[in-house]
Amino acid sequence: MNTANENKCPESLAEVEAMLSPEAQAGLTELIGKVEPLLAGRRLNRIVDVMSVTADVVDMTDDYMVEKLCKGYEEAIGGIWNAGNLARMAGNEVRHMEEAPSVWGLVKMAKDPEVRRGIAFLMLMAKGIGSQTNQPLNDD
Amino acid sequence: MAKRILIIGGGIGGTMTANHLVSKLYPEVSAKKVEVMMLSNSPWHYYKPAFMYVAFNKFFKDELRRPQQSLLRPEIKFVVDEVQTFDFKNGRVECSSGKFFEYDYLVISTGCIPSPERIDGLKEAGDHFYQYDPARALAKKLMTIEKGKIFVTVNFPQTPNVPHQCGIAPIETTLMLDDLLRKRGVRDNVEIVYTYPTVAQLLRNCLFLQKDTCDVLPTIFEQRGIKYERGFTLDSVDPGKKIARSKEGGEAEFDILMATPPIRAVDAVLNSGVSQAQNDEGWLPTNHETMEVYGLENVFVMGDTVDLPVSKAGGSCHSQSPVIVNNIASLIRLGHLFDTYDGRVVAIAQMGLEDGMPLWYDYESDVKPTPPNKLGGLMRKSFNRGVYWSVARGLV
Repeated sequence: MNTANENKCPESLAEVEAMLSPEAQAGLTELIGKVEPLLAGRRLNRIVDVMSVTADVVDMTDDYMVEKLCKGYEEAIGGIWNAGNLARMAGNEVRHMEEAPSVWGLVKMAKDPEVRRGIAFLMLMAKGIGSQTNQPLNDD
Repeated sequence: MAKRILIIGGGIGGTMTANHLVSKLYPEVSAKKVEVMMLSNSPWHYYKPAFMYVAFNKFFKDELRRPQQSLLRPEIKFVVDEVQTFDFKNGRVECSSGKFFEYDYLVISTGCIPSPERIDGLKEAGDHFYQYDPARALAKKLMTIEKGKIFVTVNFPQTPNVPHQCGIAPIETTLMLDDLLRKRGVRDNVEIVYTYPTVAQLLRNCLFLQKDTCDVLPTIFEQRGIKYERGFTLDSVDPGKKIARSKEGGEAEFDILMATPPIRAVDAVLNSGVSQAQNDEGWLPTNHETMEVYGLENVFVMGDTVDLPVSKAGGSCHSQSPVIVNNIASLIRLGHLFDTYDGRVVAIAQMGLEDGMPLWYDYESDVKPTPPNKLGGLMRKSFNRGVYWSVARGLV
């Protein structure tokens, strides 16, 4: 059972210190030394402001916001990752060529169905760009 | 001729390992001295932990899967085919297509299969959330129950000191269930009973497989009005009468039986003849430090297929994968093994529908439970929706 003394809230820093172990007292003294200039210069207020804004963001965030943000994250990271991988692999293949391919050699590369799929991908991207820019923007 | 590293399984373990191998061994891969190949029985990669959310109507199927190829670096040769037989002696596997694939180094990451049929009546009368279709079936029941009793049971493998799939999942889903029923306004009419078997790895008569967490669970459950019972090892289920019977002699009626089912290794691993696990469960004998399969040369295993005492979950794969990658790289480059696994598992537990709790443990230390909070919940939800796919790509 708790005694009345154990339930009493500390009213001064000295009372708080008295409740701590010697190791914790040393840690508290060190911490106060670091915080003191921030308190004196009112700079700690900014840290509290940041914590307050962070708490607001956490409270305002819901499942729908997480879902939309994460979809954007995954599409951005996945796109960059994929583009980087393809560029690195293509660069490596080109570096291993003993000499530059001839024009006829380039045409022959298109015999590879995977190359043709890649070209089709680029052409369909071009079509998408075209369809997004086919409306003249006249002044109202 | 290039040395081939063959990875069996397109789950999280195999995928992150394949990507990491290409990254680690890029000089050899780009010079075509090493080839990384993956065999998977599906063109899709499923985020398996999200099946749990499907049971609570939180995920659509297309949100928890991606084309496997989109998660693999282009240097990886990806083949959709199912391994039928491991021919360790000749360093090759035979697939259902009839094709053989040879290897110099093999990584087995084939996961495990929920097997409710291993308990009499459980398949007919029980529900679980470890696969998509069963999770959808459970969701329909959880969204429509108005009154009655939901009985939660957890079934461990019979191989000593091997855990069930995802150790924290039964607690996660019990708390999510409480939140869901409160949201639906029917919690007062639906009783939730959480049970745990007498033997849980090295513990006896607990509510979880680690003691510190077990000690805090009664308080958490009592605050939410969840009943709990130790010493209920599911023995059989009477689908007609809707009664669950325990090996300890207990009986319980239920309206929904939400069970963590028995599990086993995939058929090809079961039939390989290498496992020493009890009850034909198929776990491969695993060197707990190097992640090699005992008795086999240049063969590594990870994730659910191991016989180690760590969680069968992605959080284990995440720590095992770099060890296997380093060991294969050091075998190729130096001729000897290089790295050791310390049993580390990292995860963020979903403690109810809103809150989360980051956790980690290893061979030496258990989880230290901390108060779940909304920030932890947002971390978990962000992981589910975005960060997971970066983990699979080997970016995190």
